[in-house]
Amino acid sequence: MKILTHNMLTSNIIKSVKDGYPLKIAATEVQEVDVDFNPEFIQRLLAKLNWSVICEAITQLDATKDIELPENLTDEVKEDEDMLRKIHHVLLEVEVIEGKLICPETGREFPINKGIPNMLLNDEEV
Amino acid sequence: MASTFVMHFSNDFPGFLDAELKGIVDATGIDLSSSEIYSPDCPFRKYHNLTLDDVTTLCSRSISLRAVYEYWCESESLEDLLHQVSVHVQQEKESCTSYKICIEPFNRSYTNRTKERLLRIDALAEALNIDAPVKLSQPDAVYSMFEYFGPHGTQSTAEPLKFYFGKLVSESGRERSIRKFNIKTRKFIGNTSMDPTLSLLMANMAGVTRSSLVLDPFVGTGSLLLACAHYGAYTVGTDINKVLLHGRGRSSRAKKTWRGRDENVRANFIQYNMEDKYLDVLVADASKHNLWAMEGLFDAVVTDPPYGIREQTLKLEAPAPDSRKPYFMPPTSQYNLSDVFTDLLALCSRCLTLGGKLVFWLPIFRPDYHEENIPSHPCFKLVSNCEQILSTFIARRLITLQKVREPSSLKEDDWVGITNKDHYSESFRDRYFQISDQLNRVDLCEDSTGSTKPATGSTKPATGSTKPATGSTKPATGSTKPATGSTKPAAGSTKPATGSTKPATGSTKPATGSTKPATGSTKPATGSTKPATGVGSNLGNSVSSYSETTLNSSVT
Repeated sequence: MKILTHNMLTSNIIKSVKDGYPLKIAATEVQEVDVDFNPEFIQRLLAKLNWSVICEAITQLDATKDIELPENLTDEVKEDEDMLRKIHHVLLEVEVIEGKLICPETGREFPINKGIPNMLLNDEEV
Repeated sequence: MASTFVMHFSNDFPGFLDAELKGIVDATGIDLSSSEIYSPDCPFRKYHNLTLDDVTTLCSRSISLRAVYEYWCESESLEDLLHQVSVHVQQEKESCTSYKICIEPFNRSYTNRTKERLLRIDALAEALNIDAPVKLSQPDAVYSMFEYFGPHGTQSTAEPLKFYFGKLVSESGRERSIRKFNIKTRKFIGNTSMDPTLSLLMANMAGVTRSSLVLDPFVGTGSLLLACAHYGAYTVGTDINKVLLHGRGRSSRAKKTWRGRDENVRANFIQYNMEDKYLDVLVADASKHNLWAMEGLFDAVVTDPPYGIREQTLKLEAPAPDSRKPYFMPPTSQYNLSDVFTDLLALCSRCLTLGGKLVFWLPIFRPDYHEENIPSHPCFKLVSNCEQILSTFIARRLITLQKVREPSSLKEDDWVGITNKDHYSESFRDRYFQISDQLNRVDLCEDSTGSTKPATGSTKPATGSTKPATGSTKPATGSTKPATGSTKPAAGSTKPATGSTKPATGSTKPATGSTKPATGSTKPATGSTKPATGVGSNLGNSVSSYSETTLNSSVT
C-alpha cells in the first residue's frame, strides 16, 4: 500500500465512526520501488489529496520519517521540481508490505498483507 | 497542415465505434466533427481538417481504427473513380521507390484469385501509372481502393455502392495492443477476465489520459485497469474477493489446479512493463462508499460488475439477529443486481471528478430490455450505450455515463441512483439459467429423436410457467410426466404448449411471445425453483457447456 492510497482511505465504513480519517499506519515491512516521475500527475494529485495527512503519514514510517516536507502546500511548492520529486517519492515509491491501518476512533485494525490492505468489516460492524 | 483522410475501421465491434471515438475526442481534443459518413455501418469514413499529428494520435489510441489513408477521391462508379485517380496522379506527381495496390471490400469477400479483384488492380495500376516496381511486402507506398457493398449481413450488391481511394498514411496500433494483452499469455487471469479488445475500447470510452486516476471497484484480475494503464492512467482497484486478490484459490486455466504464489494484479502490470501505473488494489466492499476520503478523487471509473453467472454478486450484510451463533459466518450476502448498479452510481457520484466518466457493463434480457432499464442518477448524463449480443436472449450493454453535477448541489434524498424500470425484478441468474436450460433441452431433443417429446414438453413449463402464475407448481409435475404426450400435461394452459414447440426450432420468435408475460411478474421465481429440484444436474451442465461454448467466457 502506497502513502497515496493511505491518503484516500477512511474507516468511516464502520457503523459508529464519524470521520475515521486519517488512519494510523503501523508497518512491519516497507519496500521502496522505482516509479517514473510524472510531474503533471503529482500536481493533479496535490489538488485532491490532504497535505497535512501526507506530512503526518511519513512520520509513521521509518523509511520516510527523515524526509522533510514543507508544512504548507504553497503554489511555489507545487511548481518546484525538486519538491515534486520528493513528493513523488513519498506518494508513489514507498509501500507498506506488511502492517496494519488503524481506525483513529475505534482502534479497529485493518491488516495489510503482501501490500494489500484488507478493508472488509465483520458483519456486526456494518 | 490540415487535410482530408479516409479512415478504415474494424468490423469487430462496429456498434462500439462511435462511442470509442467520442471518448478519444474528449481525451485528446481532436476534432472529428467534420466528417462525411456514407452510411452508419460503412467502415470507410472521410474526415476533414485533421493534421498528421491528429492521425498519429488516433492511430495510437483507437481500437476500432485499422488504418488511415490520405484521401484521393471517391465515387459511385468504378470508371469515374479510375478517371479521378489518373487526374490526381497527374496533378500530384506521385513518386515512390516501390508500391502495392490493395482492394478492401466491405460485405463481400475476394480471394486472391477473384477475377474482379485482379481486373481492378490492373485498372488501378494503369490509372496510377507509377514508374516503380510492385513490391507486395513492405512497399514504399500502399494505395487502397475501398468498396462498400451495402450493410453487413445483407445480400451484397452486384456492384459496390461506393468507392473510396487513398494512399496509406499509417496503420493503427490496434493489432499490437490487442495481441499485447492476449489473455492466453497473461500471468494472472480469472473466470471473467475481460477480452482485451473490449477492455481497450472501454478505456477509450472512459477517455483516460496520461495522468488520469482510474478506479475499478470490481477489479478481479485487473483486465480493465491494464487497458487504462496502456493509455497512461494510474490505477486503483478494489474487490471483495480476498482470495483472488492474493492470487490464491483455484486457477482459471485448464490443466492447472491452483494459482501460483506470484499470481496477482501487480504481476500483470509487471508483465506488461507498466508497474508505474499500478497504485494499489484493496480488499474492500464496493457498496461502502465512505471508504474514499474525498469527493472527486477519480477521473474515471471503469468496471464490469459481477452479474452472478460466473462470479457471485456479494456484499457484506448484517445477519438476522437469531442467526448469530458461534459457527455462523456468512460475511457476504447475495447482492441484488439492481442494487449493484444503483450503488455503483452512488459511489461514482461521490468519488468521480466533475466531467469524469463511468463505463460499465449492464447485462440484459434482450426481449425485455427498455431504455429505462439503464440506471440513472441526477448527477450523470448518458454518453453512450452499445450492445454486445451474446445469444438470442442475452446481451450486455456497455454504458458510459458522465458526471455533470456534484451531489452536494442536490438534496440528500436524490443522491441515490434509480433504475426507472427494474430489469432484475427476478434474479438475473435464475432467468439466465432458465433460458440456458431451455436451450439445453432443445439440444437434447435434437440429439435424440426418440426423446423429442419429453424434451419439448419440459421446455414448455419453463416458458409457460411465467404466465400461469400461481399454478406454476403444475408445470413442475408436467415436466416429469410429458413422456405420455407433451400437449396435454400442461393441464389448464394450452397456450404454453404451442409456444413451447417453437423454441425447439431455435427460432427467435418465441422469445417475444413467451417471455413477454415475464416482464412484470415476480412469480416466475416459483417456476424457476422447479428446475433446481427436477433437473439439478442439468442446470450444472448448462453452466459449463452452454455458457462456455456460446458465451465464450464473456458473461461474468
